[in-house]
Amino acid sequence: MTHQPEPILPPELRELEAELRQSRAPVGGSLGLLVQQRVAAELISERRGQRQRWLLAAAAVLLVGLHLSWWGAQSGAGFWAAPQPLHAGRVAQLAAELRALAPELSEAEAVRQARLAVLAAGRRYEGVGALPRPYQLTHSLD
Amino acid sequence: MGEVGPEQLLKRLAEGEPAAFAALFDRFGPRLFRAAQTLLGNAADAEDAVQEVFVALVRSRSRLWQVESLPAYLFASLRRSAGRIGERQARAPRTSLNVAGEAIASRGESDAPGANERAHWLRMAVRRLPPEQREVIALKIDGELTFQEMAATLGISPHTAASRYRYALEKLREAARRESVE
Repeated sequence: MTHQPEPILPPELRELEAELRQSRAPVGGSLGLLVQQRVAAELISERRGQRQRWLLAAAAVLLVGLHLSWWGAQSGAGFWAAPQPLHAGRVAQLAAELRALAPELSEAEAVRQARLAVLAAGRRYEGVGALPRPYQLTHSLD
Repeated sequence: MGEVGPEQLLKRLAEGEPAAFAALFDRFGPRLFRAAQTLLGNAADAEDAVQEVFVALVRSRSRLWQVESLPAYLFASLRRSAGRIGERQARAPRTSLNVAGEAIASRGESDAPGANERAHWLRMAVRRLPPEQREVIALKIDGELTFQEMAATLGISPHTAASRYRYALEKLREAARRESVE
């Protein structure tokens, strides 16, 4: 930012300006403390939220792994023979199980985490609402 | 924490270092509070607005590297917070407490008329200014911003900021002249 000289005011307005500066209200001593508390609370809740999202993502991957093993076992050929790609019904089933593990999770977020876990397991998801690219394992912080 | 340059402070804020937020408050907190009080008319709402600015700063800290002028960024954020609080004020039913709050000013100023009648009158006169003019007084007098910083805060040219400020001062001077005649 380039700096320009401040325009000069006529003396009577400068006087008024000085008076206005002198009339400024004092600042309450507790405000700094309140701000510090709010900042600390925000930082803590953000870190907690981040940790929780990673745990959920890990739980989703684990669930997918378990399901793939089970589906594979049913077909008699193990994990790698599980249906490829996975269809919407199976992803919905994973999402429901994820929600049972974390009831505070919204349905949309559970589906999203389930789809991500399917991708992480190297499978393709076939259904409506494909994931945007680049894939993100967690929410943005906003 | 000693006095650090804006770039280093921004870096520490972006890293989420609590001491950096404390340093930022030491530097800008009182200025933000006074500006908020001029914009909103009472200390309680002004405190809320300043807290909102800092919470927003924590949430958006990953984008702080894009900030060109920290004062302008903070005061623009304050302006948005004050706008939201002002909207809530407007929607709230006007109780006798609201009206009294506007008329008598607020905490820290309640004893002003006795202590300094002229100063109190001036603050009240600022509150009666149209919002655009009150805003430039808040940013210049309370926020101690330069016209360049005011321009960046308001999204106008420095020339317009300076003219608006001068016009506001002239309006106040005229009100003071009328007051002394009456």
